[in-house]
Amino acid sequence: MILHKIISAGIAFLFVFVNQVSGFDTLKVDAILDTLNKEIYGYVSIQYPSIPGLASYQLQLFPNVYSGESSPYLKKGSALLEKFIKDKKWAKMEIDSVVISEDSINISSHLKVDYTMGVLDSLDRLLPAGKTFQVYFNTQIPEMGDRLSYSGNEYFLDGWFPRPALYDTMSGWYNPFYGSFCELVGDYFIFDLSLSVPSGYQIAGPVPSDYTENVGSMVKHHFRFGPAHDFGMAVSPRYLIDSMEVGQTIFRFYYRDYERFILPRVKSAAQKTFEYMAKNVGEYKYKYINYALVDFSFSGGLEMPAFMAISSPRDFPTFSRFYESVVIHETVHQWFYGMIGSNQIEYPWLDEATSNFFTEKIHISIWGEEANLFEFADFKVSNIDFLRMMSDIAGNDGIINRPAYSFVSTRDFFGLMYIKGALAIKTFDNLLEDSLSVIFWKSYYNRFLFAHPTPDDFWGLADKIGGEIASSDLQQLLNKSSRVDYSIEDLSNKRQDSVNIEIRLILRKTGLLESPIRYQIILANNDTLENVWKPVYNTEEIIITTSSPAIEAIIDPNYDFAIDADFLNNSLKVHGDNRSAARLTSGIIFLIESMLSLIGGM
Amino acid sequence: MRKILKIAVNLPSIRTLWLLLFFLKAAFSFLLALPFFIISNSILAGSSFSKMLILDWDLSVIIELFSGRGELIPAYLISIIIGGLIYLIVMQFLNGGIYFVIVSGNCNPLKWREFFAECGMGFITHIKITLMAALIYLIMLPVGFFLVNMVGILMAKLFDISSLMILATKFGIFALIFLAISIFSDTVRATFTAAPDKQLIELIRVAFIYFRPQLLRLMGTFLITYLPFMAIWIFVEWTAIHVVGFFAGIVGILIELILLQIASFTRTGQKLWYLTYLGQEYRTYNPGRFSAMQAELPLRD
Repeated sequence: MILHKIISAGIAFLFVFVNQVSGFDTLKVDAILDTLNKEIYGYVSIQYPSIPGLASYQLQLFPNVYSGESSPYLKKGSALLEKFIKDKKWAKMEIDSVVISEDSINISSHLKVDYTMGVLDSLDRLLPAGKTFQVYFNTQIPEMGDRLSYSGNEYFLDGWFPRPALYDTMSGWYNPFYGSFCELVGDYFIFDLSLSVPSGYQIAGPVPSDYTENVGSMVKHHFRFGPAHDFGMAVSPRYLIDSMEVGQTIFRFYYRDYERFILPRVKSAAQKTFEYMAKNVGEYKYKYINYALVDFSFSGGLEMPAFMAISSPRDFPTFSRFYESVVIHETVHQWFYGMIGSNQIEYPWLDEATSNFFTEKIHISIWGEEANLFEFADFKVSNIDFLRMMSDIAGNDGIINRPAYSFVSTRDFFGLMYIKGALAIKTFDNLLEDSLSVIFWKSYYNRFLFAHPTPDDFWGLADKIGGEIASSDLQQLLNKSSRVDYSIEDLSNKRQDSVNIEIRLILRKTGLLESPIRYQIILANNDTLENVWKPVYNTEEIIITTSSPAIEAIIDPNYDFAIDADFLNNSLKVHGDNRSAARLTSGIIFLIESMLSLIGGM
Repeated sequence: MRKILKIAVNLPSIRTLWLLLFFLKAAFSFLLALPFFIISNSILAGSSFSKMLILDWDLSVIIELFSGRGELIPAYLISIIIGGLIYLIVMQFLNGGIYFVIVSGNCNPLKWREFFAECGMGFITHIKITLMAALIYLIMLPVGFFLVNMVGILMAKLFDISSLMILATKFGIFALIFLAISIFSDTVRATFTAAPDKQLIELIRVAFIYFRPQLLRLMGTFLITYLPFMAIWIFVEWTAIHVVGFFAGIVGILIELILLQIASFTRTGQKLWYLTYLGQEYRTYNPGRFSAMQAELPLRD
């Protein structure tokens, strides 16, 4: 029996190991950064896959999202589009030629480009399986773009070379539509990449260069990295580097001299997040993890495998822990996006909502439940308060499980993907409770490492580990737009005789969730009655006979249902307490007085 | 500086006016806050989630209070704006008396009949001056935005400093622009009080002749009088926070209310302090109707 288990485990190990070692194609890229013309050009070498019946090959030409006013990617009214229109400086990727490597046969005429889609047709007649072809490209870099941009002599490069579209043997080619809010989607490759830059420029990327060689006034950097679905970089002559080691992983931080002051905070947040994720989700699989402080056209961060770009503190408020929050969020993406891939265009919640949920967990693990985001003069704000406030402002209605390009407003996208999605996953995670939560996330990691799970995979696992009701509730939260609210509607005491008192309370549920929910009745003698409500209907009357009257009843006392629209009605006291409103009003009176002093002069 | 301090020492001599203005402001604020108390109390009183507010300013309670009740915010804002406008009009009525007291220096004892007679006489002109100041604010708003944006861009390009510093600098520039406009409107009011028979255009012209060379000195004086108020305000906030945390109940809340009212009372005093200085300075420049009476005395043999 033991031998049988050892053999099975050995076969399973070999299957996984072989899959990981040899299951990824190599993508060779060789390019030059032209700092004079703000261009990057070179070639990508692609092996034509040996798939029977495959007659075409599809490429993603991401830089074409910056090619004109009609680009679906540039949102109407956005600052980025306005800037492009004002400057009349657009950017794009041009394919100079497509050449079969060994025979030097130019097959450019077989290429058709439509927006970000490049389709090479009739290749089966020209190109035997296994042969490589080279795609020569020239990418104009936009000034202050988002994923691809330059500012002065500093460059942020993502999606800058032609990337293979995704191929599935069942459904064929998937070449994503880069509409509003879309992030890059790609398959896992081993990158064999060379980039020539003028001497004196530092390259911040997922790995340090294996070796460099001087080519005239340029320095050619060679990188080998993978498996990964992207290779982003930041290039600057002003970068200084700091590093640290956590276990076997080397952290590198790229910063300008004036950003030195923020480094201790970035390093601390990065290290604590890394340790939390390694412990609670799974091991970090790359040798390096890199952070570069960059000048974006927005405030925030961008994740790429093993490499993160974070807004310079010059462009981002640093007086609260919002800055650390960005570092935490992007670091979490190394798991949910980087190592566990997902289609960021069709199911953006899979990485964004999950990453924001873990950002919330890590805030609590580092700074505790209270005031973990901001504290000043006794004013306290926690990350969960921020999430709940934003969920009321943005993304109030709508389905979370929907494609990025289906959104028309930043408010809805941000509200549903980052806020409501995180609260939905937090609710699901709370329903699992601590022990099952760790098992769920570790299983998710182990099962989908370097793969692209879908929502079906996510709730399939939720069903297996959390049970049918938890999985069903998770799907309700992600697939339906409905208000969730639990409340105590009524609480009263009625003396029956000299000993017994009848306590009557009404529990109310709004929404379609079915999970059982805890409630407490606090008695005048300080005893607490704990119970669980399994809601069949939306309201239920509970009658209990005790010797002590109830003073308060609370439904969901730990606020596990983070998605609950209103926590204030979760509890009800028999005798009201006016002190909270009195204090709030005292502050409001002073605020109004200050305003009157300002306008009235006294 | 000695003169500014001397005025501060003599401020109790206008304590009646000071108290009147403070209680007027407090009464308006209380009335405007009352609907807020009634509604928020109906929501918070029964909830144990709200009890954190008794200990500290946990914003989660305020966030929950407005979650799903977003319509309450514009309702409160509209009532506060309407209340603020009424207060502004009442203050224009009182400005006639206030400026009469500070420009004439005739405050000991305060003659209420004379005070309210001046209020009534100057009401329309003070309304006009307020509208003029509002117009200047409106004109200076885009100018100010342009200026602070230029400064922000230059600072970011030249000095590599943090966004917070840039934001603070922008705020400081805006505050100085608005302070200058406020001082100008104070000067026009002082001019009107000294020469109530002049037309508004003439008042603006005369006031501007005084205002231009005196601007920096008046701004400096305002800031000097503002510093003690700031110190008291910070002390009050600090003490209030600790008192509420210490007592954790209605006693702490009441002490906090009293402390905040002390800060508000000090703010009224600060403005009176600064205006008294402005009034004295203006009287030496242009005494107008308050110049010493000249009489021809018969010569004695």
